[in-house]
Order: sequence, then C-alpha cells, then structure tokens
Amino acid sequence: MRLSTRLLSLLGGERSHDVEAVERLLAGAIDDATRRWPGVTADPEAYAAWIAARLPAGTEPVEAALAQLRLAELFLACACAGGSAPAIAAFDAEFIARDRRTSDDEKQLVRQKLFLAHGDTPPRIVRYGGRGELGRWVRTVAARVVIDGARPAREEPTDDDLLDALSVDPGHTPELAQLKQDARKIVQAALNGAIAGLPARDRMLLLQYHLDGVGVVELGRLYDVAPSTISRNLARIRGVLLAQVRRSLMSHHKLWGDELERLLEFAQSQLSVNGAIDRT
Amino acid sequence: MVCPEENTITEFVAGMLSREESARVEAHAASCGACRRLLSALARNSSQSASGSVTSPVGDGESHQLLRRGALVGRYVVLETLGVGGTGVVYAAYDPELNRKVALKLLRSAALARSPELRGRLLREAQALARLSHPNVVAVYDVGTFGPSVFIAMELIEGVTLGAWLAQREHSWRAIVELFKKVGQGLAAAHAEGLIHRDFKPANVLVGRDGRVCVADFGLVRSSASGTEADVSSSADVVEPFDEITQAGAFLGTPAYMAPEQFERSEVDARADQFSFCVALFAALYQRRPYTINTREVLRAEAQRGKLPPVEGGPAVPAFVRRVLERGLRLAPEARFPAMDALLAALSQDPRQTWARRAVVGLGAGVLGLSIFAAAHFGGASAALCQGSAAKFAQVWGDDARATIRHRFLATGLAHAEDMWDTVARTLDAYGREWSAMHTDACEATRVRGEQSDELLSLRMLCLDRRLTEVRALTGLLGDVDADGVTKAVDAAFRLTSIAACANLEALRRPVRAPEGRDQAAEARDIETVLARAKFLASLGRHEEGLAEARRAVLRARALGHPPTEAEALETLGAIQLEAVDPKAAESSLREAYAVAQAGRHDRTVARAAIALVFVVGSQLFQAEAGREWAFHARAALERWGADPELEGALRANFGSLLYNSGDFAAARAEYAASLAVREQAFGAEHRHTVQSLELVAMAASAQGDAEAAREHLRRATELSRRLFGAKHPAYGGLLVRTGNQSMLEDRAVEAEAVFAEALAIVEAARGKDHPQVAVILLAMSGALRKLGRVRESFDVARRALRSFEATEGARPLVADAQLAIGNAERELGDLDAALAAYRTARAIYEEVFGPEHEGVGTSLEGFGDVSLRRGEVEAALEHYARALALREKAQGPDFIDNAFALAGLGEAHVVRGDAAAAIPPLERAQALLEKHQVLPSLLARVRFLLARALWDAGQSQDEALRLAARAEAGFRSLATPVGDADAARVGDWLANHDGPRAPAGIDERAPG
Repeated sequence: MRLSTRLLSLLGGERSHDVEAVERLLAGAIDDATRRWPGVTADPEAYAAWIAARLPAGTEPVEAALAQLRLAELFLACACAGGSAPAIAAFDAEFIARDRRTSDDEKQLVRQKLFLAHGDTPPRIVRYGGRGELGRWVRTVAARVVIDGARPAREEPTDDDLLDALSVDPGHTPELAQLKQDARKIVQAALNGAIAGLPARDRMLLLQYHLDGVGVVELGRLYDVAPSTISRNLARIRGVLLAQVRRSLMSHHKLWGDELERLLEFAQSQLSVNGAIDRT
Repeated sequence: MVCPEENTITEFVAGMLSREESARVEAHAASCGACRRLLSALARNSSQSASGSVTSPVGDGESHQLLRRGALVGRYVVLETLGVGGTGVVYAAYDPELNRKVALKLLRSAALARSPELRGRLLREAQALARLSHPNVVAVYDVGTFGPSVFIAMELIEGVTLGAWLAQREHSWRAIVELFKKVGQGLAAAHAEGLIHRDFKPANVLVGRDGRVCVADFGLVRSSASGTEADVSSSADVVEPFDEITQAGAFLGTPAYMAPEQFERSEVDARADQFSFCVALFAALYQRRPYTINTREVLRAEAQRGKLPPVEGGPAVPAFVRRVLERGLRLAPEARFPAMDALLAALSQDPRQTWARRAVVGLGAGVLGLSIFAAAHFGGASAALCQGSAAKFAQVWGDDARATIRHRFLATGLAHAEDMWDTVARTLDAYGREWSAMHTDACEATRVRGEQSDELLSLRMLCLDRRLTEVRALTGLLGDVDADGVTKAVDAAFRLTSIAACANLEALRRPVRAPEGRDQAAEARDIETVLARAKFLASLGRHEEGLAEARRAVLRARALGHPPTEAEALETLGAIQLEAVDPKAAESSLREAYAVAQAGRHDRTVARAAIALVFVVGSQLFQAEAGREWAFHARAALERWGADPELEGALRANFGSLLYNSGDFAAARAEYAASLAVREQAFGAEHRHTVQSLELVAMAASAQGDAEAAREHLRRATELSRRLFGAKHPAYGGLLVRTGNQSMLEDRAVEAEAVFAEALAIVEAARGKDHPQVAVILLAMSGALRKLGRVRESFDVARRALRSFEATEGARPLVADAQLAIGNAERELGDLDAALAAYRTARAIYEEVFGPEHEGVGTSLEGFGDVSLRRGEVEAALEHYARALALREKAQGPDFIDNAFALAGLGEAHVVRGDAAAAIPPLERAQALLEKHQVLPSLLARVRFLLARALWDAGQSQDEALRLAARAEAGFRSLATPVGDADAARVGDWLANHDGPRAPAGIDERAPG
C-alpha cells in the first residue's frame, strides 16, 4: 500500500488533498531520511500513523499541512520510538553525542528521557511535533532536563537571589558591601515590589538579563528586535524600577533626605553595575 | 499552570509562533522561573559557537560563570581553567601557603545549594577521600565551601586523561594491562577504605607525564547532576529497572560504563566499580565497548552466559586477560570477582611472564633481580604520600654533602676538626631524623589518621620546608668553610631553628600570609633563603659577609613591601650585629624589626626581636629599666605566639642576664633555672642551648655564694660540652676556664691550676699560642700560681698574657687586666715600684676606656692601697681604699662581694695605724659579705684575723677575738697551700700570745693576702 493511501485513510479522507503531492512528499522524506541516516528503517504503517497523528489541524489541503512538517526528522523520531537500534544510534550521534554544551551526565539524562518509557509515560521522543527543527527541539528538551535537575525547591527567584545577581562583587568595594548589608532588607522589599509590578515582557527582560546573564544581543535575537532596543528597554525598565523604589522607600519606609538618597544610590548601583557593555 | 511543551518553546525561539502564542509563552515565562531560565538558556545557546564558551548552558548564572584568573577560592588563587565536566569546573590554582599548584574542582552549585544535606554528604565523602593516600589515587588536599558550592583542592597531575592516552597512539595489550593494573590498585585502595567510585571511566583517570597513573573524582559523582543516586531522589522518572532499560535496546550503546545494578535503586558496592573498570579495559583493548549497540536479547543472552561479544579481527589479547574481563563483566555482581584485589591478581597471572621471571632467577642473575626489585620498591615507596621524608632531607644532607663537608673540615688540619665533624654530622643527623619524623607524622595525621585538617597539614609542611631551607644554607656554607668556621660549626649547627616550632599548632594556625602574586611570593622565599645564609655566615664567624647579606635582604624585603619578610630580615640583621658586638646597631635594627613585625602580624618575629632586645638593651647597653620593658613586651608576644621552648628558653636566659647585671642574683638564678628546665625538656641535655643555661645557672649560683650548686652545674655543663664539642674544642676549653675560676673563688688554687693548664693546652692546640683566648687563660693561670706561692711563674705568665693582648687590636681592657696581674705579682715579689707602675698603667687604661668611675679603676686603687700599706704609708692607703670602695659601691651597690677587698684594706690600714675602733666596722661588713657569699675563704680568714686583733686591741670582747682568730687559723689551714699554712702559723702565734695561758707577743704586722 502506498504511504499516501495509508495516511489519507487514517485521516478519514475528509480533508482536501492531492494524492500525488502527498505521496511525493512522503517518499521524498523517506529518501531524505535514508540518505541522512543510512541503515535507518521504519515500518511504513507506523510512519504513516506517526504523521497522521502530528499533522496540524486546519482547513488547508493535506499536502500544504505536510509541507510545514519536517517529515524526514519525524521519520527518524518514529524509528527511534519503535526501538530501532540503528535509528537510536544515528539520532544519538547527530543530536546528542556531538553537543558540546551538555556534559556526559546530562546527555545520559537526555537519552533516558527521550528513549525510555517511564511507567505509563511514553518516551519523550513521541512528543516531537515536527514543526521546529529536531535539533533545536532536542536542545530544548536537554535544557529543560538540566533545569529540572537543578530546579530549586522554590520556583521564583527570591529577593536574595536577585540582589545577589544585581550586586557588585562585595569584596571589591567594602563600603558598598557594608551598605548592602544594612540596606538589604529595605531595598529588597522595595525592589521586589517594584519588579512584581512590571509588565511581563519587562520583567522577563530584567530577570533574564540580570539573573540569567543573557546578553542584549542574545535577548535581541530571542525577541527578534535589535540589541539596541533591548538596551533601551533595559534602561527604561531600570528607570521605572528606581522611581518605584523611591516611591516605596518614601511612602512605606518613611525615609527622607540623605538616607533616602544613599539607599537610592545603592539601588541604582545594583541596577547599573552590570551595564549593557558587560553583557553584549 | 502548565508549562508550554518543548515543541512550543522550540517554535517560540525559532520565531515560528503567532503573536498571541508568543505573548502567552512570554506571560507564562515571566512568572515561571524554570521556563524563563529555559528561554534564557536557549537564547544564549543560539549565539554560542560550539567551541566557544565552556560555561554550563543553564542554571543559576552566578555559580556557573567561570572564575577568572586571580579569583580567590578559599586561599587558592585561580590560574586557569583546566576543564568543564558534568560535576563541575576544574581549575589550575595556586596555593600561596605551600607555594604549589593544585587542581581545584568547583562543584556545580545548583544541586548543592538547595540541599545542605547533599553538601554535607559530599564534604564528608571528600574528607574521607582526603584521608586516603595511595600513589594511584589523586590526592585530595583540602575541601571547603565556596559560597553555595563546594571546592576540592587536589593534587595537580600534569598529563592527560586515560581516554586521551589511549587515543594518542596504539598501545600494546601489555602496556594497557600494566596501566590498568595501577588504576585497579587505586580502586582497590579506595575500596579498602569503603569508598566506591561509582563513575569510573577513562575520563576519570589521569596519566601523568612522569608515568604516574591516578584515579580521580572518587565518589563525588554521586552528588552531581548525573543519572546516579542523587538524581534518583530528585527526579524519579529517570529510575528504571534494568529490564526496561534493556528494552530500550540502544541505551547501553551510549558511553556508559555503569554497572547494570547502578540503574536500580539498590545501593551499589565495590563490584560496580569492577564492572566499570572491565568495560573500560575491554574498550581500551578492543577499541570497542563490550555491549555497544547490542539489542536487549544479545546483551541478556551474552551477559547471562558470561560470554563477551566475539571480537573478530581485533587485536590479539591473551586468553587470561579475556577470562578476567568475562568474569568482571558478569551481569550479577555476585558472579564477578569478590574484590578488585582478586581481579588484579588474576590480571597479573600471565603465564608467560611468570615463566620469564623464573628464567632470570634460574640463570643465576639473582643479584640483578634483587636490585631491580629494590629499585622498584623504592620507586613505589617515594610515590606514596606519607613516605619519602628521609629521602627529601637527604637532598640537602646526603652522602655527597657529608663527603664534601668532612673533607673540608679535615683539610683545615685543626686538632679538633675530626671532633667537630663528628658533632656537626651527629647534630645534622639528629635534626634530619626529627625533621623526617615530623614530616611523616604531619602527613599521616591528616592522610592516615585524619586527626588534622588539610590546611594545618599544609602549614606544617610549609614550616618544615623552611627548616629544610635553613639546612640547605648551612650545609652549603659548611662545604667551603675555613678554619675559624670549623671551630664555630657546632654552634652554627645548633642555630638551626628547632623542628618543634613546626608542631606549634596554635601558632601555625595563625600563619604569616605570603605576599600576593606569584613573583612576590617567590621573591619572599628567595629573601628567606638569603637570610638563612646570612645567619649561618655570621655564626660561622664571617660576620662582615653575614651583615652585608642581611643588609641586602632588608633592602630587598623593603622593596617587596611585605612587612613579615622585612621584619625577619631586620631581626636577622640585628641578631648578627649583636653577635658582632655592635649593640647600638643591633638595638636599632631589632627595634625596627619589632615594629615592622607588629605591623605585619608576624608574631614569632615580634617575640624574637623583643627577646633579643632584652639582652641588647638590658645587658649590653646596661639600661636595666628599658630592658625590663622589653621583657614585658617579649612575654606578651610569646604569649600570643604560643608555647615555643626555643624562644621561651632564650627569653628566660636573657631576662636572667638582665637581673644578674642588676645584682639580683637570686632572681637571675631562678630565670636561668627556668630557661634550663625549658631547654632540657625541649632539646634534651645534649644541646648547645642546654649547656648555655647550665653555665648561666652556675654563674648565678656562684654570685649568690652557692658554690656547691655552681660547681655541680659547671660540672654538668663541662661534661655535656665535652660530648658536644669533643675534648679538643676551644668551647670545652672555655668551660674548663669557668670551672677554674669557680675553684679560684673557693680558693682551691691547686684544682684551678690543673684545669687552667688543661684548658691552656686545648686552646693553644686549637687556636695557636698567640690567640687572645690563650692569653685570657694565662691571666687566670697567673692568679692561681700566685695563690700557690709560685709568684715568679705567676709573673711570667702574666707577662706572656700582656704581650699577647698588646698585639691584639681592641683588647685594651685586657691589657689593663694583665697589668693588674703583673702588679700583684711584683708586689708579692717585693718590687713595690714596679707594682705601682703596673697598677698605674692599668688605671690609666681603665679610665681611658671606661671612664674614671669604672670598677676596674677601683681594682687599680686597691693595688695602690696594698702598695702604700706595704710601704707603711697608712694614710695614703686609707685614701686609696676609701676611693676604691666608693667606686665599687657606686657601680654595684653596697652588698656586692667585690666590696670586701676594699673593706678588708680599710680595716687593715686602721689596725696598722692603731685605730682599732675605726677598723671594726669595715671589717665586720667585709666578714658579713664574705660569709654571705661563702667565697674567698682566704680573704675571710684574713678579715677574721684582722677583726680579732681590732676587737682585742679595742678591748671590746677578748673571747670573741680569740674565737675569730681560731676560725681564721682553721680557715688558712684548710686552704692546704704553703701560703695558707704560713698564714695559719702566724695566727697560731698570735693566739699563743693572747689566749689565756700564752703570753701576749707582737706578731707580724703584715696580714696574709
């Protein structure tokens, strides 16, 4: 039975389609896959079912929906899920073993996640949707594996974390370190309140920049804007924060004059020390 | 709130999501830390080149950023990054305390930070590992926390991982098996300590450039973010029974060296390491892993049958090795070897090799075999951590050094050269034994017994290193020593800082920080070496060179700007100036040393400088009050520094000298005795310092009038000194002179003459007839001979001493002393003019050198008085004696024993003048002084006889007069000398004339003297 026939029958034949186009796409995908990963085979029935399950819903013709999917990579995923040793070896070689950014131990975890069922939960590879590149998807899984492994008991960054991330090296300027101790509680509360009040994107930017140490170029790429926009946004957010902190210190903590200025100066230093130049 | 799944995140990052979908992801991530960090990690990843930053991709940025060069972790200074692994980052770091490079592993903090329990367990395991000492295990020096992370300072092995070593080129099966045997020994040693590696793989084995093979990263992996136990508890979904894992088929095709049971929840034991070891060995031999890409069925079938996969066309590996692998790779732990030792034994049973070894022995090459064995044995021993101490010391004091120094000593041709060599060699041998014992003990206390922290071990090793530097400086100088140096060699050897200082744990805990920066630290070490050299140059008699070196060291230390080093340099300079008898300069250097040491918090040098100042200021510059002040500071410094017998002994001795010079002999003796006790306990009897304390106690006892104690201490000092220096050394001669002087104080002139003669022979032989020390003995000899009535000989030796002193630069006061002796002899010989001339010359010199109020001037005046009295010029005699007494009382106070001479003179003059009443008070004072001090029995007898006559003539108490005369007679008699007998006879005559039945009669006016 042709693959297209199998797929279309699984889809129930309600969606508009061009059988030849579908067949071309599927056959091309298998050609691609066997060229990229020689020796990898998958059961055609299983592959057709695999695709059918992952085809984006919608009204467009089947071949158009198929064109959005990375069919060859789905073929490899399907083979791996079927327990084919050559497929897993090929997958491992291309997407896991060569990744220099994860340690051996982390790779081990990723392999277990991807290829081993756990109780009723199927192996993670089953969840690859086929829209994004398989490599990036594996990368995402790997990053999440590591983050989950390191996930602190408390989900949210605490004031302490943030202050630590924002602070300069305490050994560097002893006065500041001392002041930091003194003012810690007060500024903490004020800063924390101010950060909580920021819009989602601003909050994200601030935390990613200060807490996660992502540079403005990288943030620019993530949000698809120019790095200078990120810099400007960060500066603006810092301004908003400081104003909020000032208000908070004045109204809630009843601080005035020199003391207030001192604390503000401190808060400002916290926010500007790791300036844009350092992280770009 | 459900986190977006990976597909969504991937599409978000790739920009494939619609605006609303993106906003949803952002809104979620803004309030979900994990997703935000995931986005951050992916954002960073996308910009990273594969070979770029090795920063771990995700996690809390702070702890995952690499440390820069110069960053401090504990006391370690980061130098460079060596590598990044799953468990953490490894840096090369510098340990300034020990001046060595270490490997510093900073463990990833995330898992540790959230679990103090995990951190505690990791610390405990690392500490357990630190106790393990095996040449095939990377030594762990130190474990500590660094912020939320844990750091481990380890031995830095210059070399490659086993993986890299195997990849370098093709190795023979034999080379691989030999190397793995060493690795296995490391594992076995750890297993013996109850430590299980749990993550054995070639990447965790280091092959040093020197060929040493070490297993690293023991047990630590358990707490890391790997698929082992730690994660079992934190993320249950990674735990799979073995069956399910094998169902995945390819799973074991991944680079896993884990034993099957490690995937189960059960605790693993040493046999898991055995499995991993065999996987690695198999892979090394066959260049493929035993279970690579095996399906579940194959693996199961093979493992259960105990069969390894067939390797066709692979390298030829002997059957016995393959049998070992087969057993070690069994599925069930119980089916493997019971322990690594058994595996290693099996791996060593190469039938061919056994045969070859037998053949060698069979050929009669037993000696060769033995020497090879010995070499191998030693090689192994020195690699072990707590061994090889003696070998290390032998680097500075070994056969070569001994031969060179001995040859040099004997080449001087000195009579005592051989003895000197013996003592110096013995002293250095003993020092070496002590050093090695302490070295081993320090190591074992940490590594074997675990009683001592690694930091303390490091500090003790540093201390021992410095001692070794001293020995190197000394042996270097002894290698080209001159005759004078040979004579002083024993003293120099005893100036080695005592090893006990390195056991002063309290003090070691407050170490002097080395300067920051590698070059600076090296410069400080270099200056230290120069100072050791300066010290020994000076103690070998090369004061000028020593001073020059020390001055240069001071300048260098100043330029370095490191107060502790500068303080040490100044202290050394001051000590050398003191030795070179330049108390003014010494005071100035030592004061500065004290101040700089305080500023640099160098407690030991603070104490040393203050202690030296007690002596310089109190006993050389005669500023008793200022000296006491320094003693006060010295005690405080010593208190802070902690128990240090070397310094405490010195402080007691120096403070005793100050008290002695202030005339407080009882207190001085107590201090001296305390110094003796401290030194005897710390150094034992046979030590230069102990001998010095014995001499000092004797001196104080003698001044106190405790002749018996003085004699006893001198006897012990002399005996020890003979053992230390040999019977031909001038120092032994010097102690004999002291003994003789004590005898003279007790009027045992016969004994005195004998020991002076012995001392004379020794010192003449050692230093030549013209040496000033010979002349000093001659002078003492002159006094003894005069007491014995051998006045002509007494005159001759005094003349010889005079000539010698006159030829010696800077010996002017000694010339005056000789003139006094000549005057005394001339007086006895009856040439009063010549006697007067000699006394006058002496007085002129004393006045010129010391000023008109010196006690030496008083002694000369007493000579004038004696001459005047002999001439019948009684008024002149009275005047001389009165002035002499005034000078003495001013210099030493009213109770000083020497006052008795002038008091006796005054009394005699009054008696001669017929003023009996005036004679009585000075004579009674003289008698009291002499009785109190129990010295000079002849003078006491003379005073008693004079007092008897005065009392009788004054008509005060005839009974008392008779009793005194009788005691005087007995006193003279007990001297057992011709002069004494003659004097006794005269007193007898007087008694005969005054005592009841006897008729009064005149007697010889001249009192015995």
